[in-house]
Amino acid sequence: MEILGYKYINENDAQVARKQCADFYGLPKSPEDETKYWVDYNKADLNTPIFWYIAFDQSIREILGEPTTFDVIIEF
Amino acid sequence: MSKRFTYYSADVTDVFLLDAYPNAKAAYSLRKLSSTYTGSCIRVRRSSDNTEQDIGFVSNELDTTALLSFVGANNGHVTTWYNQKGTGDNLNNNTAINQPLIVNSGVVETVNGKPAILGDSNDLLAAGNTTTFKYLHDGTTKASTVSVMQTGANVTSTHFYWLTTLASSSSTGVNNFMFSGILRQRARNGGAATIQTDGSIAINTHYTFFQIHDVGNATNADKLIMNINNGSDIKTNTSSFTPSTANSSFRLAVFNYYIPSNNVGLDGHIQEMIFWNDDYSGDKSAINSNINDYYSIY
Repeated sequence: MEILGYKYINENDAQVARKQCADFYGLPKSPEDETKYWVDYNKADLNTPIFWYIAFDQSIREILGEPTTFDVIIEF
Repeated sequence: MSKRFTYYSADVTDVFLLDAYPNAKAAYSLRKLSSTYTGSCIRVRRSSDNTEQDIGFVSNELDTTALLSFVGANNGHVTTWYNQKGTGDNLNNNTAINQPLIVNSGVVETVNGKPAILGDSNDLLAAGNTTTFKYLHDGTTKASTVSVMQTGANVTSTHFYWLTTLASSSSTGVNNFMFSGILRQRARNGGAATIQTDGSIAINTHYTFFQIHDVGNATNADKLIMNINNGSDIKTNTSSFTPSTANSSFRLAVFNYYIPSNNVGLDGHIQEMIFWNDDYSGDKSAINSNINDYYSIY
């Protein structure tokens, strides 16, 4: 499946990007809230090598910049 | 009439579903399903400032007055759909852009006048416990599920509810997904080892699905049974495969099948889902009547 988004070769980089988005939107609003993140990252664990990615959403363009397209193997 | 009705009035539609049919593992609804449940219905994040608040019931229905008072003219997203069994396993999502909608620009989402939660094809709600729903897959017992939903514009590639690892490889578990105008009820251990029953569905249509999961049944056609809007039972499985107990521990995912933002989630509404670790096939018509009297589906 072709994904538009942001690709990371290690999980830590994906976590940093996730936190950048959460911080931008002030999340979590309070510690007891369910909502911790604005976007989350996925693990492309069927790809070789494995990578991590955040799918594009218009709301994160100004935070993470322009997205790219890449293939993610998904098994139904 | 089943013996379990003898404790109630002659009309089962007058009672709470979980009072009449108590052996549920989980029950999610925007109406009250149990006379003893005292918790909230949903937790909502408002788009204006990302503040969250629990919303309860009034007259056994979602308290839409409190909901709109909290959300105002903005959007309200469901962060948690509480399990009315009160035993945990709440459906939730901690990621803002993947939370389904209950209020759209100050208007409560509804189907046939009743509140409904709307997914947008990238949304997901999931229960965190991997053991609660294993009976749907492990072949050791019969299970009954009922769900009330309305399809969206896409019934060619969209996902309804799954027991899944929430990873990109989801070829093992219990699946309910839509493609080519059918709802496929499926259990599998890897890509080739699959049992499935298919029922025809249409876009933008209100449904109640009553399903039996009896994956260890020796009769292939009886392993997975689907009943749509109280019609005839659908039994299309022909495979003799039995899922393994060793591959049965998954999370319940609703609206989607794995970590979202994959554009294949349900673009429709869900109003109610109940999972019983019991065989209520003999009570199917009474359960469907209770649901239809409230939701006016067929």
